[in-house]
Amino acid sequence: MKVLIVDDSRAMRMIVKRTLGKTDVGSCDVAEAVNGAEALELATSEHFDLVLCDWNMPEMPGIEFLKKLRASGCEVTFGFITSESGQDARSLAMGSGAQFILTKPFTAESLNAVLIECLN
Amino acid sequence: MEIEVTAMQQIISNVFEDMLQLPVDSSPSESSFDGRAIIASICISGRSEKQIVVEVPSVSATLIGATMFDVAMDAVEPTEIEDAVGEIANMIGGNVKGILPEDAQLSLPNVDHCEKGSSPASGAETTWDFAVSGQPVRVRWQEFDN
Repeated sequence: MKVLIVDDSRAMRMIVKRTLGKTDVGSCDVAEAVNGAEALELATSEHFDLVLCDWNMPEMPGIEFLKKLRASGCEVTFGFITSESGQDARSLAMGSGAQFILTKPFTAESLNAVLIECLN
Repeated sequence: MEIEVTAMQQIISNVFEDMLQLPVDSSPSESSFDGRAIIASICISGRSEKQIVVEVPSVSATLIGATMFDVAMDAVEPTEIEDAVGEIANMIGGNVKGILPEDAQLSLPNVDHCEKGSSPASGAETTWDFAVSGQPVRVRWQEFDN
């Protein structure tokens, strides 16, 4: 499985990557991007099976990246992993084409649960 | 608005214990903030300006950085430590925003260094001291007058 992890924090990208390896998804081919603009360039030029994206990032936030990605016709499975925990963010994410929104802090169990649901 | 002690304890536990597997003592016998510290803050803008500040002495910051990057304490880089502490503030701030009874915007985290801890805010402030793996961590909730 090819996964794109998008977060401006390198610490968080490492945690997401490490935690992903503890889920049923197992080891993946992982690419990383530091903001939505970089991620958009990658996701529209390469095939990914899954995008795991932060919400608040400089240059291009995650929600803008998602909207542009869907507008380009890309239907990759997309999940937010973010500190944003409000219902408004959840509604906006799902309405814009995300499959899930997982609130930080998260565990391997909580990530596994959302991945099983959306990848099945 | 006041943040309940139990709510903050739960957030701290979720961040450090559940996610990073670092034990938390919510009632440390003493907290030393005398030396150089890293201060990470995140603003929550709603009906009033609010801020979460995470203040950690160097040794606590190094522990957090080493844990998040999964490297030895002597192998973690200063920029990695700043990144890690900033992300701790981001997670705490996001979770606090989630329990506020109002629409609010979360800023990106800001990370700075200081010699003897941060100064109290000009508005209302609540401070919680924790020990994470025996090392002090201070969280401040500051609410500023508009």
